[in-house]
Amino acid sequence: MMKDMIPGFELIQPTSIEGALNLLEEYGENGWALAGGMDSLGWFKNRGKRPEAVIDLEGLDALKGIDETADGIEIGALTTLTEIELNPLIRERFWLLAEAASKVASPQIRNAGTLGGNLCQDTRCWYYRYGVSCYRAGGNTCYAAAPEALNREHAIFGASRCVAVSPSDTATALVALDAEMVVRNSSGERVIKAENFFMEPAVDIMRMTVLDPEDLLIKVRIPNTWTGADFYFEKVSDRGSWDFPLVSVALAIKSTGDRIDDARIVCGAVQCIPRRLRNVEAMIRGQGRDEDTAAQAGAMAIQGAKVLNYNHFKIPLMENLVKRAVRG
Amino acid sequence: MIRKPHKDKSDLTLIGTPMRKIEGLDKATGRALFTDDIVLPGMLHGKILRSPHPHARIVAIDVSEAEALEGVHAVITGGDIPIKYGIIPWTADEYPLCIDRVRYIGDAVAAVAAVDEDLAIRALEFIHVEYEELPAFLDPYESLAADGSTPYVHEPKKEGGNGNVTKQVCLEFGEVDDVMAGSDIVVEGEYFFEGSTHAAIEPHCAIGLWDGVGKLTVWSATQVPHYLHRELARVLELDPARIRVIQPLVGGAFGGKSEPFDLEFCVAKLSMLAARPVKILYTREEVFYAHRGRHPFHMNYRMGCTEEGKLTSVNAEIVLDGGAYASFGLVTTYYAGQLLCAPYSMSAYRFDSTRVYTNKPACGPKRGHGSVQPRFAFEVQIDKLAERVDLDPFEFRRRNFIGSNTRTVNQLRITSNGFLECLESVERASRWRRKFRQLPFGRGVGVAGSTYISGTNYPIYPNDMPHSGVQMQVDRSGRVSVFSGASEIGQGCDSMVAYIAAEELGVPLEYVRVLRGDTDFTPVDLGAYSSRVTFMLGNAAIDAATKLREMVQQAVAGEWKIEANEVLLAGGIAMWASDTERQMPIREAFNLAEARFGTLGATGWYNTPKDVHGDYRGGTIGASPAYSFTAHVAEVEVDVETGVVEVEKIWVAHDCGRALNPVLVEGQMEGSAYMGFGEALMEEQIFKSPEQGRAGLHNAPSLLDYRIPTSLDTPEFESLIVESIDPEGPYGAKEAGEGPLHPSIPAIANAIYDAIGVRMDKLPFSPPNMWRAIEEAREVGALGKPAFPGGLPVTPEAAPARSMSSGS
Ligand SMILES: Cc1cc2nc3c(=O)[nH]c(=O)nc-3n(C[C@H](O)[C@H](O)[C@H](O)COP(=O)(O)OP(=O)(O)OC[C@H]3O[C@@H](n4cnc5c(N)ncnc54)[C@H](O)[C@@H]3O)c2cc1C
Ligand code: SF4
Repeated sequence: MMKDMIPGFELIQPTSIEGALNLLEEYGENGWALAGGMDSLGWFKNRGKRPEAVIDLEGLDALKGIDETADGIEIGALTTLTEIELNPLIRERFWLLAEAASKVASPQIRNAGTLGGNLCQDTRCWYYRYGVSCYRAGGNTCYAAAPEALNREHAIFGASRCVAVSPSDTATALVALDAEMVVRNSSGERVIKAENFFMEPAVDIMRMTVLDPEDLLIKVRIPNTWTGADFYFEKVSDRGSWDFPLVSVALAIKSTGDRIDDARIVCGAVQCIPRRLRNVEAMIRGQGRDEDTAAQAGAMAIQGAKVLNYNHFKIPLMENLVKRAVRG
Repeated sequence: MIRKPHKDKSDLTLIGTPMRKIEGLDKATGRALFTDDIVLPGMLHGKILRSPHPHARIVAIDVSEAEALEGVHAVITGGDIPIKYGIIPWTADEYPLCIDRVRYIGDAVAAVAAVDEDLAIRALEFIHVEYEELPAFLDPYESLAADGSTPYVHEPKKEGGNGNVTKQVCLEFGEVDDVMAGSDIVVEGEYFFEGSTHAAIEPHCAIGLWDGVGKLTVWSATQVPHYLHRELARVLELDPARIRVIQPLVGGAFGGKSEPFDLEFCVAKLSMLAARPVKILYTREEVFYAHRGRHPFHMNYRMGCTEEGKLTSVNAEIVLDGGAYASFGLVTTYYAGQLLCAPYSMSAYRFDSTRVYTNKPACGPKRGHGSVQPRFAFEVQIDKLAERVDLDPFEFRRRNFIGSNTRTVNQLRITSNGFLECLESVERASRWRRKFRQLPFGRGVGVAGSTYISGTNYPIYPNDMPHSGVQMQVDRSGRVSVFSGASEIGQGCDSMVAYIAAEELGVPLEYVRVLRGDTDFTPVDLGAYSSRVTFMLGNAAIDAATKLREMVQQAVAGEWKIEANEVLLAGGIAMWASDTERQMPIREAFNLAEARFGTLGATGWYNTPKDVHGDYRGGTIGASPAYSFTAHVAEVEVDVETGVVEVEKIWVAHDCGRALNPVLVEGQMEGSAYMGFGEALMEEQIFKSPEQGRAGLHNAPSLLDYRIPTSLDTPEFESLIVESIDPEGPYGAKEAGEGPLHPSIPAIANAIYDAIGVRMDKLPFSPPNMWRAIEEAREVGALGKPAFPGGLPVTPEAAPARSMSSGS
């Protein structure tokens, strides 16, 4: 019952990536990588997670900063959301990401919170966060999907026992920008498409990303594919600042004159992963960027949505946001 | 208590000018001490074990394992403090620690004191409580309908009664039904005001120190040190003369600290047992359980008017969801009806309000106690009536203005009344006439008005003593010391007495020391509630200062061989009114006075007018020495594709009587409007039902999930001070701390209607709730700009008007 107080843990502060990877491997399930702490501290404070060792990444300077490469940019996982929001290169080429980052939480949280932490954060389902033993916590029921449950924040797509949603604002932007995640553990490095980085509950109900406990997200690569495209980002939440999305939309779109050449469109907070709308993308390709196309896109976006008791509003909200994004 | 006519503005040097808060620098630099900043030698940390069940019998508690832990110095349970407490003497219904029954998730069951906080938390896990779960009442209507087949939340007071009812009040003034039947227009509406909590930044905190030989000191973040003092004595069965309550600076309260709480009794008892000081600091989660926030109100309003727009009859039925304990509920039940009879006159009025217990954290007073909820319904009803009679809502309000120096339909005495000026100010500043019904679809403006008390004429426990006292002394250095028992909770009452002392005794503000918050050396002030402090403490301070000033004037006059009333004291000097070149430093003047009269000190006090209320049971509740008045205009933009309401600006005009320090008054006006705005748009106090996992569990006991607006969400405010110079207030002042909150919510609701033609009769106006309402309106074709009153043409950019009919 007594929550809201951080219990003790071992704090380890490695100064090299190798050191960090070794520690992550050593502690496995009992270790916890700490970046800005904006998600982690809440868990610790509520005693919902009680790691034995906390491995603080703050000393890993190699994971900080934004670099230009031959075919795009690379953003270190420890780069703060504020840096991303203000970085001229990102603003110029990938405004979508800067905008999404600027809509996360509050200025204080963006100053401390990192891109890696934002992508790896856990879901906000408040049953789960309260510490009840639901599916995601290893139990055998979902409280949020019960007939009378309070689930206005929950999923309208892709539910599989768990109906929680992906809370990350930068995730939608990165999927829309076709980014790649560079992941490393003590046995090597692998590169994963942003689109494949997030975990569906049907595959593993206890994880939000494909990362294993010994994995570290090193950096995010954004190819130049979508530089020069038009972007649209909008997030609706109960409170304008300092709040998670009820529904959000991120769009990258290229047109010639009035005709849409190509687009990637992603919705946040409607599914456990950022929801890429491939069918909409395919449908609008070659169409005019107008009211008609927008209306069709909106209608198509919500096909197959399944509501829970309190989240009906997400359907029209998603439809309207997609419509607006396509309309521009 | 001396009462004299007010000085003119020209005779005042400091009062009415912008001045700093005396403790402002300390707070800004972090030097100010709050209760949790205090660390005493040998201090232990206490924690309270709380019930995981909304309603259960305690079958057994075993604390032996916890007691055996090394470093645990004391463990207590209900049996250690078996006397009930409660702020209202007639409804004491809480034990510091539950004895046989727990009534909400979070109810206190046992407490420990240990050498550090971590150990105290761990010790809680070693306390074993066996519960027998009982069916819980979570819905107020289920509580109301209970027949005793399962245990009531509290035992009925009368056999066969419904123990779930805290209080029922039904008062009727005039022939409500007849007048209603004769009205040209009747509008009826169902309203729901979601409960909300105070969310003060400082969590509750208390320290107990038992000196081993009979003296108890309790430091507490309370806004009612005097009532705490009394309850500690009664519940702990100690001689009040041996109890000292110290109130350090308080980091916000808003009504959430206006009664004793479990932690204050626990630190005292634990300290008595452990013979060491004990501190308990609530976690944020515990603050949500302690609650005492705004009651959820389920309201039905029926109101009639004539074709000309004269309000005729008002009938209100209200169910208050009280939570597990009475708190101030008796008063809330009355306030729900009593405070609605101004600023409009009406010929007949009836309210029937019932407060029921439910197995949730107890509700109580929050800024604008009892009247913010019905005011929301009332002002939306007014808007609906105005529309039905085709009148601009400003005009409708003006036609029903009650006036000054009059009585309300329920016999409350109204003295000064600046409501018309308030209406005028916001109408002009907001450019209402160019906006109302004329902004494009999606944008709108709304107006609302209100009134509030400046203190209550009767104290919480019956007595004839003053409501507020001040002691003042001047010394040979020119310094003025003020001993004030008033509760500085951030609103500025310490500064206010300093301003008065400086004004009356002619010293610079820096010469005034305010010694405060300690029942050992300050006279009684009843506490920071009901917007009473400026009015009562201010009058007490003027009383004390005037007595001292007169001695100083006499002494100087004797020296100069002139008349005492020709001696002016201002700006650190005494001078002769006829020849202001003739001067002496104030210090010398004080020395002359001390030589002549002996050591200089005075007490001052204020007592309320009695017998200026209605002669009926409950007629004293709501009776105040003066009433403040407020009007707001809110301008909103509604995005019908997302359900997002953006409040662009709120114009706030408030009749505070006189602004003693306009900066502080504006701060209160903005803070109030901000708070109302938050309740309107986002605050939601949700509890899970049995099907939702854990019955009665607070859904969001954190400042992340319980949403209050941040500075980034806050609209622009324009504060317009109206001064009606009250005949009985200090320099004419009334109140500014609570009144300006009321109209925010209905003004926003009315603005939403003006923007898109959708009535929001339920709080909050969050995107999902807005959505539902917008969808419903869309289905029946009601989404659109409402018609301009009188059918005048609307400006071209506005969406096509549609004819309106709403309400009954
Ligand atoms: C009040 C509040 C409001 C918020 N509102 C929003 C919002 O509107 N939108 C939004 O998107 N987010 C929101 N958040 C979430 C917040 O943005 C994230 O919590 C933050 O960005 C996380 O970053 P961090 O560096 O602080 O992460 P941490 O808390 O340090 O880490 C979060 C998780 O990621 C893991 N992790 C971190 N870095 C790595 C890495 N390099 N490799 C592997 N695992 C890693 C950690 O182990 C941990 O599990 C909000 C949070 C709060 C507290
Ligand atoms: S939605 Fe997922 S996280 Fe929430 S209660 Fe259900 S299983 Fe747990």
